[in-house]
Amino acid sequence: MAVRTSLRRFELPFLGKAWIAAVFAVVLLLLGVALALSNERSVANEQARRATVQAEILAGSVSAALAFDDQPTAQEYVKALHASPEIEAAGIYDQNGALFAGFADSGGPLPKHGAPHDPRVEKGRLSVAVPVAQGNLHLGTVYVRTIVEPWTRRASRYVAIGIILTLAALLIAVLGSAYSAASAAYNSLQRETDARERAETALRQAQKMEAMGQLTGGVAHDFNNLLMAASSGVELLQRSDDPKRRARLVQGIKDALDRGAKLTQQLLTFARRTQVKPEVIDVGVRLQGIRDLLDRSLREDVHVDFMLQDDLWPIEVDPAQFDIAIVNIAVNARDAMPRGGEIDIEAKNLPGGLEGEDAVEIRVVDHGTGMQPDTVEKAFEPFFTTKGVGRGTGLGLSQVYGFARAAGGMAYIESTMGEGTTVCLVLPRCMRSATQEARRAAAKMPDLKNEKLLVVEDDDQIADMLQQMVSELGGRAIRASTAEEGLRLFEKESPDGIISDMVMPGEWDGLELVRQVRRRNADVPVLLMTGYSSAAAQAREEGYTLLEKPFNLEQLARGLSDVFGARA
Amino acid sequence: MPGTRLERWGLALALALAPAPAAAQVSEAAVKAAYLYKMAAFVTWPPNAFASGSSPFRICVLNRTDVAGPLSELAHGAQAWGRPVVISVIGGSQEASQCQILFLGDGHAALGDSAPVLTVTELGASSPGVVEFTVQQSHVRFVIHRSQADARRLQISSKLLAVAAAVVP
Repeated sequence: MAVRTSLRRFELPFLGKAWIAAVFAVVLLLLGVALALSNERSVANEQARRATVQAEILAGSVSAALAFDDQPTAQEYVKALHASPEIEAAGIYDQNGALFAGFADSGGPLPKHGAPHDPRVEKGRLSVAVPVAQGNLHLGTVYVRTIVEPWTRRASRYVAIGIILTLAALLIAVLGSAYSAASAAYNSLQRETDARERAETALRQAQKMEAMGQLTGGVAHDFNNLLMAASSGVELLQRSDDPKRRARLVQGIKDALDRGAKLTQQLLTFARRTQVKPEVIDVGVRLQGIRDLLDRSLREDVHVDFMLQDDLWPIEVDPAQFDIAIVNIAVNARDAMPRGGEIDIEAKNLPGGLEGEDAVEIRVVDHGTGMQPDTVEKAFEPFFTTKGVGRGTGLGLSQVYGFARAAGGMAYIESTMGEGTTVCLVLPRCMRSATQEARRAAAKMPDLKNEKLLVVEDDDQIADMLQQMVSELGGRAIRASTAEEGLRLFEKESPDGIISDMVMPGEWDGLELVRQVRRRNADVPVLLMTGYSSAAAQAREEGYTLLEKPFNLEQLARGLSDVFGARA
Repeated sequence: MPGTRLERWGLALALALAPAPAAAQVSEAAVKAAYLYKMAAFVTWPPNAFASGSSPFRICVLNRTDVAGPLSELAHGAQAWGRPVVISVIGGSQEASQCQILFLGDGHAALGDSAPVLTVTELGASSPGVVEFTVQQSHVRFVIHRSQADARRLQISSKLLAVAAAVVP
């Protein structure tokens, strides 16, 4: 139905444009006809004028011959007119109207009697008669008759012009319709491209969700474990008075919570709906970054072993897609080992390994069931799956393949039944070095020197925690629970810096608050906090520093030193 | 062939015109009278040729009533150069300088060589005028004496010169 509607929409402008061309063609033809008619009239007028002038010239020169009865001279003058091909007869008449001299080639003899008359057309012939005079003397009449070009000959001339005009009109029509056809084709191509782009975006999202789905079970399990660790730790903490034991328990709880925070953060990064945005990454650092995620999301009986070459070359890929690809391969490896086992993730430099260019090779090796050769062939096809209903969508490995191709590299599978499978990614080396951000050493703790920080946060618990963290870092905190209150406090207390949540109840969000603050004082350090918010991208675009929740003291310290450092 | 056709039509015309009995009936004197009258239109006189702005255009005939008769008929109520045409028959030469055209016939008038008068004489006159009548193939023609015309400051139209039987420089 949608297709039909769009088709109809496609035809209407096409027809409209063709009509315009047709109208132009018709107008051109009408113009041609009008031009021919006006030309015809002016030609007739011109001919009459020419005949009259010829007659007047003859009348002027023949006056003496008429006056003094010199017939030979008069005849000589008339003969001069004979040279003009269109003049078929000319006569000189004396004052009594009697013929004095003249000739008539065709179209009948000269009139017997001569008298002046205006140009007139009779039987396809134009005749005119003008008086001959000298001073006051009326001496006679000169008569001139010319052939008017026959209608048929004129028509044939106009037919030639008409053919040219028609061809021109036809050309316009053809060009017009060709143009509209081309523009229709272009529009349809444009729509096709748009649809394809949308489909590709949807496919990427689906692939991501597939990976997410695969992960969720493991993550939930892991979360359950760490929640249990934390809650039992708290329970034990309440019962114990031994400071050593209490310290160990607190550390245990903290570790469990840290892990939870890390997991959530990774999942959020994973699920974020992002455009494909290539960055230069260090494969080793990136793989280490998802190690925990893999360790915990696979099964307990599956162990991931990393074998990474030192000094791996950087590659330029979309980091999120890279993570997803590795997770997808690992999940497949896990499923190939129902009784558990080891997954080896290896990475090494491959000089000249990709069509003669340097590349980095990442191999994910399992020691599972292996695949049949025909399964290997189809493994990269979208929606191809060997898993049971509800367990897989068949999008995982297709994402891997799509990712590798998009990055300018390739992906392939080696598999032996009963021995295991190796999925291999070969990605081109990037000559720029990886962003240093990932390796950046932890910033040293900033000394806030009793500086006053405005904390804007609607959640009481988090606000309380933040205030404590700020005092831990040596500063003083004042709190506002809405953006509006924050601005009032800012104006009243003039704090040295602001830490604000992004999403808050009230008319303004955190972004609007910091905009207002910046309008009043462009230099004040501003740190924004966010969980998962679409406003985060906007805030980044406007150049604000963002701290992703959940964060620990060290991360807060780093964020604060960033914004205070920028001020200094 | 156009040439042949032209000749044929020319011949037809000549046959149609040649035996015109009217031409034979018109006397030589009448033809000359008509020529005298018509010449006024082909000659330009100097301004001092006229005594005053209201002076008539005078055509004079010396002793030739046969010409004066038809001339009077022709000139009745006519105008030349914006003046009424008057025909005078003169007997002596004292009025000759008052004329614009003077037909002397065979005679002679005592007239200065530079007087702006178009003198017309018959063939064989003792002293020819500016215009001298002659007859060619039974047609009245005329000879023009340029030097006389120039002396009298008369401008003769090229059209008139073109139909003259001869132009004497």
